[in-house]
Amino acid sequence: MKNPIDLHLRPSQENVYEILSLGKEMGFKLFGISFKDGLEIQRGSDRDIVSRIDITPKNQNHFYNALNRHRKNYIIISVKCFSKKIVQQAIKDNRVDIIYLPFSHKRNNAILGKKEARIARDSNIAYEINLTELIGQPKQVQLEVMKKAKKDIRNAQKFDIPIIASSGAQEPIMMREPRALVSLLEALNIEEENAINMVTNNPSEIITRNTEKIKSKFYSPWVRRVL
Amino acid sequence: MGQEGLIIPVRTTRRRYVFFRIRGPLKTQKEIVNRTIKCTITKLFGITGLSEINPKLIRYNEKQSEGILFTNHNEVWRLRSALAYITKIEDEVSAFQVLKVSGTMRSLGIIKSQRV
Repeated sequence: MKNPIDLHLRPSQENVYEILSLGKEMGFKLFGISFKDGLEIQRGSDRDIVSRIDITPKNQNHFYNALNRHRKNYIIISVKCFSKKIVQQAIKDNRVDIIYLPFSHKRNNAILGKKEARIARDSNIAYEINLTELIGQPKQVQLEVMKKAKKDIRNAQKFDIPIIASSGAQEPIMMREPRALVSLLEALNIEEENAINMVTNNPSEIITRNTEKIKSKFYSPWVRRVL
Repeated sequence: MGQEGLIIPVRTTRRRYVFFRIRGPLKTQKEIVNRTIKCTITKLFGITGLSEINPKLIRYNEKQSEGILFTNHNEVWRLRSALAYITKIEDEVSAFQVLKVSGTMRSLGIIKSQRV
């Protein structure tokens, strides 16, 4: 597998270096670190890191304010959607890179339906699966989680939305090697080739596109400043 | 050409040896590791899945928490996903990490170094 990327790590200040070294040992080439308040990483060790922020909007105003504040500062902006309204806002805005719908919580009808999937495809937004949510759940919760995951993935694949698979690890013990992520995706009825793309090509494309985006010459997807 | 009587021995199943390490605070016994793997496979793929994967814990080093599992080459992905799925062994937070998959024990390169 060429250049696997774990685009979603949520470390604390205490375990950030441990997580990064374990990830490198497992074979990951690049890491997306979700920056929370106070998380700092020393210079020199940030070469393999992509800055990312997870927005959990409470309402529409909070969503727009957060986007305006963070777009220029982070390479990846992900929106954690707990309600259908937020999903509908997030998929229309092309400043958002990734939408993430937690499986294990009550989502208040926040699903990636066919209608949402169609809009998300036009806005070039990726859909993310955090595999820590799929593992280690009690049996009853597990059934629900698997069902939701399969449904969302089916809709995303039907409308050609890029899917990203990441670990979502908060602690080193929750990290899995790239091949293990692929195998877990295969257990969700995803073909091997597609599963590999979810760990390698899809995240890589987003990073390349967004590095361009935060440059000063970028104005909108088809418009660049020339003067 | 009169070769009907000639029987060439062919190995029908292609074997795979999976070398793994357990990351966690405790040293676990071989039986417990074996039981945990089989329980997880049954939870994920059912009894039919367990019979198809048919994992065998060939060797296990309790000191280093490293071992070798044996399975059919078609079922490696299922075994891998089951190992990735494990988050606890005997109520202690642990994780399995697959270090190498190979067709022969020798090419795993660990027998010579006497790690397992």
